[in-house]
Amino acid sequence: MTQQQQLLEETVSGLFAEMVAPMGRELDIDSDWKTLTQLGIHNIFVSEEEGGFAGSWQDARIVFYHAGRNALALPICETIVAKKLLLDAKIKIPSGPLTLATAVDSRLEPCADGDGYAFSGSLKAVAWGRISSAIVTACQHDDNDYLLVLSSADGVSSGGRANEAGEPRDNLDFNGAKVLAVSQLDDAEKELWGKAALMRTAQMSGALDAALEMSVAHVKGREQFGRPLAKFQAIQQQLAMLAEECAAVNCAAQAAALAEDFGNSRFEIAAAKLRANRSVGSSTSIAHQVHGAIGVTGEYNLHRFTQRLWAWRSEFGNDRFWAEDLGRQVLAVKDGGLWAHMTALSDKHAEQ
Amino acid sequence: MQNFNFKPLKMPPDVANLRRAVRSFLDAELAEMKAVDKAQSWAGYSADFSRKLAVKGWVGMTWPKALGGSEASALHRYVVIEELLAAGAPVAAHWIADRQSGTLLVRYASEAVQQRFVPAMARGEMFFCIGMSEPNSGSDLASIKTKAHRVDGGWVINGSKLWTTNAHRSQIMIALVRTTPQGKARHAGLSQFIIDLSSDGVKINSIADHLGARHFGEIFFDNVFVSDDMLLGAEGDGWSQVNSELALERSGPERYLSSYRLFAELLESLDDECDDATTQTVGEITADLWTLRQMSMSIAGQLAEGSEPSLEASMVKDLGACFEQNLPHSVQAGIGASIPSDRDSDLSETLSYLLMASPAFSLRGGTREILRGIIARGLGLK
Repeated sequence: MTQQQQLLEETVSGLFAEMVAPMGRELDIDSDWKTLTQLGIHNIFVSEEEGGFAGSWQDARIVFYHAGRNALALPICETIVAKKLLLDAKIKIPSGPLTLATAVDSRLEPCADGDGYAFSGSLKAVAWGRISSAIVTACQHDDNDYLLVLSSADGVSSGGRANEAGEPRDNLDFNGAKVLAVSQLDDAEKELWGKAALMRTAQMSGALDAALEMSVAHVKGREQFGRPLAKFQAIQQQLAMLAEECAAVNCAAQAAALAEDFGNSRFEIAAAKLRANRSVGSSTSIAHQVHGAIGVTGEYNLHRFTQRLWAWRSEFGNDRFWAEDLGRQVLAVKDGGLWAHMTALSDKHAEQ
Repeated sequence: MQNFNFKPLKMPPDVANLRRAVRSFLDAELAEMKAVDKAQSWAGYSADFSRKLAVKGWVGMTWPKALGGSEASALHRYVVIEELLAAGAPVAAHWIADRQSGTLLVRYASEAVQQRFVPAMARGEMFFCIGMSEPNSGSDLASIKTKAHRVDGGWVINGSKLWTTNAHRSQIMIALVRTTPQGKARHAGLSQFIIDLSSDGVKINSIADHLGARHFGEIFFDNVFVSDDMLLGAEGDGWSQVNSELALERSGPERYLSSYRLFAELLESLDDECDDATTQTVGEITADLWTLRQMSMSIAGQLAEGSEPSLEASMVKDLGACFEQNLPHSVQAGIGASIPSDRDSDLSETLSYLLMASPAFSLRGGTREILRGIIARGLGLK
């Protein structure tokens, strides 16, 4: 980690922990969002001239991780990724919290008055849709892919059940809404989905570490049969397995972020999100099991992390989605097979 | 809470050329080798191959030039060994000398002792084994009974070692033995010795495994004399020396690649039109494989920087062994629509071998339970 990254890590871990205290407090989209933006956390990718951090995906991963580790219930991660997509597409960035979603039954057409484009389509389960100011999405038009920005206010709400952690996931329908900006981008939907999956992977890594930390603290303090639970081998072995899952997902998220900084990281992101998804079942099960009944109470905070893990496993690609995606990538490799492919990917990151 | 360090590794700049060189050597050397023999991975033994590899300069790469090494970085060595394992090269003969014994000698032995052994190890002519487990000491290593007592000019060793990999095909053993009787501090009083297995009083029997293969054995020491300079490191420091040795032993690519040949055979048997379930299996195995490689590389990078990530190494070994053991079962479970069921195929033969060989993967080099105990200690639970 560079010195700058250490500083970023200290800043966000301290800030997020302070913001969510006391844990369970409902965060406010006005005052709390202001706290985040005053420090420029949402501007990780924005250039220094424009008041940003000029950061990389490895830097952004630090923010995602700590947002997950603190169960920070605001769309800061979504805003960071949305801004990055817009920066890369050279699209002017709207103000306020941003989010990202893919569209179904979508259509992009030139406006009748010849000025700009109109978008019709449904965005399902948009993360923080109702409190976002704008949504980044993708659409095809005339056999080309486009990245575009919609004003959230132009969407008509058609419900949308919150995710397992109670984070808003809104269905929004657009009918000929004028797009705020649009730019042609090959594989726009794939790009958006992949970057969002990387974001969720890093958040999941943070949530897993929080669940481990709570579990370790609990078994050290709780006594049964006259000694702390931590002293039972059955408990020790379970928590060792949980720690291994935490380590694996953390390593995968970091390696995928590094790969994304070098571009073309579909393989690494698929592997990392799939690895994270596959850890959720056993990890949440162990964390709850060692906690006993206290862990399933509303008052105790373990659920803030396990609920997010259950939710995020489905978001931006569940196991099946990424397993098929990655499997197809591997089966399409011709020259030299998987090993040659995998080593070429990591050798590409060799220090120059 | 302890934080685990798995920062990503950036490979050194010139590794792609090194990879190409290793691959072209292996393409030629392994052309005639059967898939099921490649599947033996680092248990595959060929003294002839080890010598040829040494001629290329790929044994003892990190050792001093004065001792026959090439002073290459640990990461260059990492690239070579992962290529050897991915290709299924028969590396067993020199594996232990290259992985840990040579490094121990470079670290602890006198110059004269180094000159006596290390150049021959780097030539791929002198093979080492590790004497740790005993008949009544498996996971509880500190309970070993083999002992050495001082005599004029050296030590006399009595006792026995068991489950020693390639005991019958190695010239030298580095053994952990008691030099003072066990007291309250269980880990005190242990020392490491270099033992020439052709010495008087050494008796070696190989043991057949359930496949009929003879890759490990038992060794008896009956008043075996070793000279003073065969004491490795300091008397009584054996436990800490062995533990830093284990960091070298537990994190390498051999801890997740032992079943890789089966995956390679599976992929060769498939085309890109295969069914969804098989495609998903391929994706799942790949995600685990890729993640383990990142973890293993991260540790290689930390070792190269001079850190000793023992806890992280235990994690990679346990996760890696689980992966290596699950892989044959995943392949077997999926045989059908896309995965061919022809019993005479390389795929099928490799699968049979690995189904039967894989239970040992979570025993050798530290059992699953011991590793998880180390991790629990790292979490502050012990």
